[in-house]
Amino acid sequence: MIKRNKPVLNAQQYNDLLIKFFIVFFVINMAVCLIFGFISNGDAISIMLNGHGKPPSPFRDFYESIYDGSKNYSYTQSGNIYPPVALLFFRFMSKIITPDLLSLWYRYIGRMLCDQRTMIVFLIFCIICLLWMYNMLNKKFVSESNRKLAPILCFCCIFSYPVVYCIERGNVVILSMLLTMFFVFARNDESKYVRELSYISLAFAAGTKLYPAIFGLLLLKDKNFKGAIRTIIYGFIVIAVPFMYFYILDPTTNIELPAIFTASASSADIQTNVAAAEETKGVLKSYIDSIGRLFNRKSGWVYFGSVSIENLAFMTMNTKTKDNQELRGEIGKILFWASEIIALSLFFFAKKEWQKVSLLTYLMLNIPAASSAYAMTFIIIPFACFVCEKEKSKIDWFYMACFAILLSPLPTLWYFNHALFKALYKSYLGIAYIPSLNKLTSYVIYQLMHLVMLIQIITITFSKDTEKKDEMKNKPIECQEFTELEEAVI
Amino acid sequence: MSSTKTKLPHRALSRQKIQEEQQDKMLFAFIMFFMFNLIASIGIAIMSRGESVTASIFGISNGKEHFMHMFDNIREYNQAKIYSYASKIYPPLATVFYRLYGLLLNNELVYADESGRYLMQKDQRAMMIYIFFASVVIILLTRLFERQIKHIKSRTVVKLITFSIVVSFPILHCICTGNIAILALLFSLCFIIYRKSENAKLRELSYLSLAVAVGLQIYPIVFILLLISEDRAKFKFSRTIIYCIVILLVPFLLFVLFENPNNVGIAIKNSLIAFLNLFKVGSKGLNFDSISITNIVYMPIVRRLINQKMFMASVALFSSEFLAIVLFFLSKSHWRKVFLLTYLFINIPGISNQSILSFILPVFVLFACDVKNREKSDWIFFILFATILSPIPVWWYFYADKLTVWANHNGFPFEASINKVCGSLLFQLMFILVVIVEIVAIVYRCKKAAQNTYYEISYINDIDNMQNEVTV
Repeated sequence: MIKRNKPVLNAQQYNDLLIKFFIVFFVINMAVCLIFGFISNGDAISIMLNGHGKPPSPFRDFYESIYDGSKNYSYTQSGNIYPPVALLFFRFMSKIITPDLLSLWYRYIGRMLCDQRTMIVFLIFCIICLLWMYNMLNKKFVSESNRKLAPILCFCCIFSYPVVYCIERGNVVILSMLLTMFFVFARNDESKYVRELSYISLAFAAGTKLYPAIFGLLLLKDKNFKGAIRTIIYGFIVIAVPFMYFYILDPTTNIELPAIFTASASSADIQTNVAAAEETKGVLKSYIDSIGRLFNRKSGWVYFGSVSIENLAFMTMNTKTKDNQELRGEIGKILFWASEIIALSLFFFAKKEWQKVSLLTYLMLNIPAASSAYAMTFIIIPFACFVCEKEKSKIDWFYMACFAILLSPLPTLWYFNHALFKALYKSYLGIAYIPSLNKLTSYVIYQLMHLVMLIQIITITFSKDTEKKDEMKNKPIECQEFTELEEAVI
Repeated sequence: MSSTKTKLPHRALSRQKIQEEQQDKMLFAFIMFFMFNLIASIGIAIMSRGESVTASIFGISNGKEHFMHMFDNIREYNQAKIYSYASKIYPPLATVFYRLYGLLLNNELVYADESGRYLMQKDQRAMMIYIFFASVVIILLTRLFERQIKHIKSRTVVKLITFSIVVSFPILHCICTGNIAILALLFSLCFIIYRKSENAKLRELSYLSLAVAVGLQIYPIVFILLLISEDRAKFKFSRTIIYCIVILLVPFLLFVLFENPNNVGIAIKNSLIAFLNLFKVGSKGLNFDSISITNIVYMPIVRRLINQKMFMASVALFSSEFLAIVLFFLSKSHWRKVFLLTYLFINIPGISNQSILSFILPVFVLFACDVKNREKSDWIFFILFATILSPIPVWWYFYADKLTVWANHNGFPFEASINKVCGSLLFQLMFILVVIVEIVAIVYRCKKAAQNTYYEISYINDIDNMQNEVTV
């Protein structure tokens, strides 16, 4: 009987197999989502994004931020958490918006959705972001992975759940992600101009959302200390200069400027400026407080959409009794700080590019206030690096499965019996429920993936250390033998 | 002998070099002109708080019409028995597209009456689907255009040209109004680029793409004439026609049979009537949204010279269409052939609008890539393309009130967009120039053919004479 050996795949073929698995998984889920959407007149899709009930107004983060950016008291009164660059971007946008909308009371700003100028600006913003994402990912995949499958992979990333959710919210995190992606992909480019541009790009990414600043550690890992110093300088300029602009603008600083610099778009400012002067704690303190709020939990129970490890502490909490809420909060904080320290430490031991990027992404997404379904767009960066990794092993099937679950738009399989499912879920499990399968599973899958990666890095690091020690023991003898031989030859 | 042999390649090389230098200068000038206009437009948009942009695309009085072409069509195409109406043509594949779109929205939006016309603008799914639709189409267009101009050495120039194409006025008009013509443009471009591909599968896909474009908007059918001059033309032509018929007829019959089974004949008759109505010259006067030659008879100076405007407009329309089709068969230049075909449908009054002017983009790309036949006269075409495609800043926006009064006094509507005011004039001017160039080229070819025939005849006569002398 002739034994047939299994065909041995080379690295490229193995990688292609993984990519095809991802694409097939993605396409099947997307197709099922669409079919459910057609049958339910789109309700099944809205539920995936926003849960049951009437869908909220789309793109609200975008026009709410434009509203906030148009005010001179952006930090002192509205408690804005956006860094100055993002706010400057929205202030610029507010200059092209109908002024009457900006003078409305806050609860009526949904009318911006029907405004021609706002929507055209948002449409062009989305097109530019998605086009840029496609170009960067396509270039990366074509040069380092499978050329034929590159366009399909790029479209999978564009239609991934985090990106779709981000566009639905109108959140500017997608811009921050793209700037960070450019830095990660181009920081080792052959052209020095492109490399410099990548450092500036990271500075702007940090200026848009602060937490991408953590990616600067990649330069330290690459031992590119000059680049790191220059990036810090760029970051400082990019954050400080716009901040000074808002500092000067704020009515609480009592600096008189010509009207062209201070003219905010709304007459409501005149009324609120008086109120702002009364309750003031300074622009700088307000901004520092807003950074501090990043580490506060958004809610006292499971926050779906967040992948922070703190969520695990609240996972089993009974929704009715909310037992041991404070204790769970404390446990969550301990888990958070422990995981951050471990991730940061292991970053310096990680060898593979995708693992380094993934650990930095974890450091960022683990922060409670920064962690959300739309911030998960940052996962596309480690995913792209993972796809382009040349050496693959069996464990990578697990990672690819995790990426596939995190990125694919998962249909709400129980949609047509959701009332029954919800009742059974709550009565038997008694824990928090959300109809979106993506939000329900993302924090478990993400933390699990991260845990396996940590174990792998530790295992490889220690096994390599052991191998090195053995090599060091043997080396002197071998060297001695070689030199004796050499002497004999001479 | 050896010196003439060395001179010929050198002359050819120097001519090629001159052509490439001219090409580089033209592309540079195009990019500079485009970027200047774009930056100036953004500046004026900031000064006018965005009103100049919306006035340029939608007009001054229309404040809520963004994406409404798409949303209105969703409501209209989802009505039952739409093929019973004689007012317009409903391309079958477009009906499929709008119905699928409508399936993802709530029924109260899709079947809303006039009072609920703007509800879709506030709907999460309607807006999300549109944004992703526009983004994907723009990405695919960018990829196709980049593929077409990839021979240009400088990557920066390729990126800038592609960017210019994507933010050109016709494309912006398309996506801001929600016109599905951009989808038909995408599939038509696939056909134009890949119909001569060496890969048989790509060629087949290109024929299918044309069929899809025809199913979406009908008028791209004219591009099928490009197959006539190719190898195995009959075979390719007949296959593409079959694809077009299948894609047009199958959905059409399905809709009619399911919704209006007793009136198949009436449905076909109404569709034909609607098709013929497209060529009717309107009597409504000047319409800056139209690019058709019929618009020119209503222009301020011209209309005072012409008494029977509708008759003259019809004469101008049919003679220009006839000239375009004749010159198409006689032309040897690829980009001019595509231009003449594009002219055929952009000139039709019933469908002519600023969004359909986006079909000039493949013509521009082919023209920009035609380095081998570059002449100095091509500067004029470059200027025309640059002016038609660039989003020209609305310089006179701040005097809109005074200009509106002046325009009304002179009996025509005020149009804020310089692109719209100049678009039809420049497009028709381009057509006239192409006609002139083609006629000159035809005359030159005829002259050359006549000279060759004379030499051949005189050569044959000389041989005959020599033979006669020998026999004698």
